[in-house]
Amino acid sequence: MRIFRTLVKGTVGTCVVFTFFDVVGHPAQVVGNSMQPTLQGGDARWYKRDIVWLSTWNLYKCSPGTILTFVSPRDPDAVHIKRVTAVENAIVRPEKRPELITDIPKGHYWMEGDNPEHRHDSNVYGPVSTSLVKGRATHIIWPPNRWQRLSK
Amino acid sequence: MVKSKGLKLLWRFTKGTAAFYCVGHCISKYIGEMVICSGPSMHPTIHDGDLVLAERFSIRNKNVQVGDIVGCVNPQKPKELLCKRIAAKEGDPVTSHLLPSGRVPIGHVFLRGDNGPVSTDSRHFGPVPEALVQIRLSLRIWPPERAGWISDHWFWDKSDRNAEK
Repeated sequence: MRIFRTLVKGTVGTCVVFTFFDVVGHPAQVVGNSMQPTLQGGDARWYKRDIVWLSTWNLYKCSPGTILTFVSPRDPDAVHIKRVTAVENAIVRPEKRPELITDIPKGHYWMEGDNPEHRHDSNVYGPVSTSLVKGRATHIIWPPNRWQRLSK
Repeated sequence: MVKSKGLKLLWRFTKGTAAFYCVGHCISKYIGEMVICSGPSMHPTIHDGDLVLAERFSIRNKNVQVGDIVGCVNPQKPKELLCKRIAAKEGDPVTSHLLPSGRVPIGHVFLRGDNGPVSTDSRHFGPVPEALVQIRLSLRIWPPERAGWISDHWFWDKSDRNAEK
């Protein structure tokens, strides 16, 4: 009977942790340098890359400037972190193809990386649906000397 | 330490409710859930108000095949789940005025309702990213006279039945 109780407690504990990560927020590591210099993720050593706290609240009505994570529209396995630069009903011109003037549809964001040299963002794959957004970066929590709140 | 009997009871009740909520959240998020379908867009297959069991394993297992009925988040309203049939996957030819290339783009699926004339689907809002497909509808449990499987393969069965046809 004792082992049964332990199993139940372990399962419920796991569920509590998963629910907390889903409902409140979770940490995640930045990989890639598309958000330089705001977020450092270009180093091959994991302890040199930034870890950010991703909140799962207020994802769908963000103003330009918010940093969000979302599943790539082209690859369901890749999660990208980019900055919102325009919201629905704005008109944008993708760099490199400025003739493709885009009117951002309802419920979509225009997401761009901070690093103009090296980025794979809405300039490549167009507006991103808000339904793909997974989290909102609120703080850099690692390394400790770069601990800061990210502007909303 | 909590001394009063009433406080102790309240604490136990709160703990129980929290545990119940967390377990329920994990089941519906990682295993599957019951969905009530509304609207006429899938009419001959699923009627308005049917109760259907839906599972998430085949999404996790990357086993969504053409012909499956899936629940997909509306690309324009993140809180709304659409129930449609997968008509084509990435690279498949499709005739739609929204797709000048005539093929479904990489990482996207093309959704269609069974009730063509009234369904709002990919013919109106274009192909949707595959990541928006959330659940696969598999078993109708209500009403009892129409209860039964609405999918024709298990979530682990990756054999491509569309290739034989």
